[in-house]
Amino acid sequence: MIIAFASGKGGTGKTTVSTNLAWVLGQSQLVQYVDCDVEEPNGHLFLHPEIREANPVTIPVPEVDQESCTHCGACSQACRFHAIAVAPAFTLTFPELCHGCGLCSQVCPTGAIREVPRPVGVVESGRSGELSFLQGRMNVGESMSPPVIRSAKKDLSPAALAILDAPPGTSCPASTAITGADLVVVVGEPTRFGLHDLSLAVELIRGMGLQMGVVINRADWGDDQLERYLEQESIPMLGRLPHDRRIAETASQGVLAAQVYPEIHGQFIQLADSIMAAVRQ
Amino acid sequence: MRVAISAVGATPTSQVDPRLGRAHYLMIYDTASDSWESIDNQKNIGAPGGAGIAVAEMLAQKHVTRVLTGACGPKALQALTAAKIQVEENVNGTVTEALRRFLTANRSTVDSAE
Repeated sequence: MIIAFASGKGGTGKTTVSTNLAWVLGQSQLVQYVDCDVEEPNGHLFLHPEIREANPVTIPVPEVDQESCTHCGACSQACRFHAIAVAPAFTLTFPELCHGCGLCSQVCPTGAIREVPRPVGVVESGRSGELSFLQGRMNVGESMSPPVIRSAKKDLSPAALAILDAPPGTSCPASTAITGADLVVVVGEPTRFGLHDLSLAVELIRGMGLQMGVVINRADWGDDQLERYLEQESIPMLGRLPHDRRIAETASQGVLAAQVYPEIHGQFIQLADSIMAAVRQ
Repeated sequence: MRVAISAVGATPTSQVDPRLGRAHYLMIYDTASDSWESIDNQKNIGAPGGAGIAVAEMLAQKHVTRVLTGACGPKALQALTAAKIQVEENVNGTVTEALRRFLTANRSTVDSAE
C-alpha cells in the first residue's frame, strides 16, 4: 500500500505533512517513510533516522574501445540524446547525457561498445523509532533523478504502509515518484499561485489514472478559491491544517510538531483517519 | 580550409547567430573553391540537450576546421576540440563581415592551408 504526497507548487508542506503523518500512523501500524525528493531529501531532518544501509545507484553508460571502432556512426544515429558523437577520427561519449538505454552497444557492428556503471546517487535505509526509513539521494552535480527514485522504490517493504514524500512539481521526478501509488495526496495552499500549480498536479494525476485527494495546508489563510475549485472538480478534500506558527518553529528546530503539541497531534490523527478512509475506497 | 559560421538565415548576408548548437543555419565557406554551403540546423533548436554535440559531429563530417560563433557550450567545445576544430567566440555582424575579419586576421594560415 503506497500513499504518495505530491504538490504542484513547492513549499506547500509535503514533508511537514508526510513526516508528521508517518509518525502518527506508525503508532498503530507498520509504516515506512520513503523520501523520493532525491534532489534534496529533507525528511531526515525531522525523523533523524539511524541509517543502516547505503547502496549506490548506477546507470549503464557506454565505453568505446577506440581500436575496434570503425567510426561508422551507427551508435550516434541511434542515440536520441546526443550522448555519443562520432566523427572521422574519434568517438566521444557524454555520460551525463546518457539515459542508459543500451541501444548504442546493441547497434555497434564491431562490438566496440560495452556498458559500464556510472554512479548517480545512493539509496539509504534505516529506522526512526517505530518507522522504517528509506531515502534516495542524488549525487551533487547530477541532473536526472528518475533512476535514483526508481531505485529507492525497489526497496519498498511489502509488509508496511509506505508514506512516500514526492518531489515538487509535475514533471519527470514527480511522475516517477507517484507512479503506482494507491492514493496521491496533494498538499495545497489557498493562494492564487498555489491553486494554479495544484491544478497542474491534478491534470498530471488524472492523466496517470491515479486516485487523489487534497489536504489544504495553511487553510485559514489566503482565499476560498482553492476549496471552490475542489468542489467544482469533485476532488475529495481530505483535511485542513491551520497556518500555525508552532509548526514553523518546530520545523526550524528539526522536530515534529505532532510530537510536541497535543493539539497538532490531534489534527494529524484526524487527517490520518481521513486519508486511511479514502485509500480503503 | 573550410570555415563554418553560425547564422540566423541561409545566406552570407545574414546576421551571425549568437548560438552554435541551436543556430538556425550553419554557413560553411570553402576557401579553396570560394563557395558557400548552407546547412539547415532548425531541427536542433528545440533539442533538450546535446544540440552542440550534434552540430560538432556534423561539422567534423564536413571536414570543417574552423568555427566562428557568438558562444559555444562546454560539451560542444569538447566535441569540437576532439575533432581538432578551432572555435572563435564573440563573433558578430553579418556572416560575410565575420568571414572577412577572419580571413584578414588569419591570412598566412589560410594561404598555407591551400
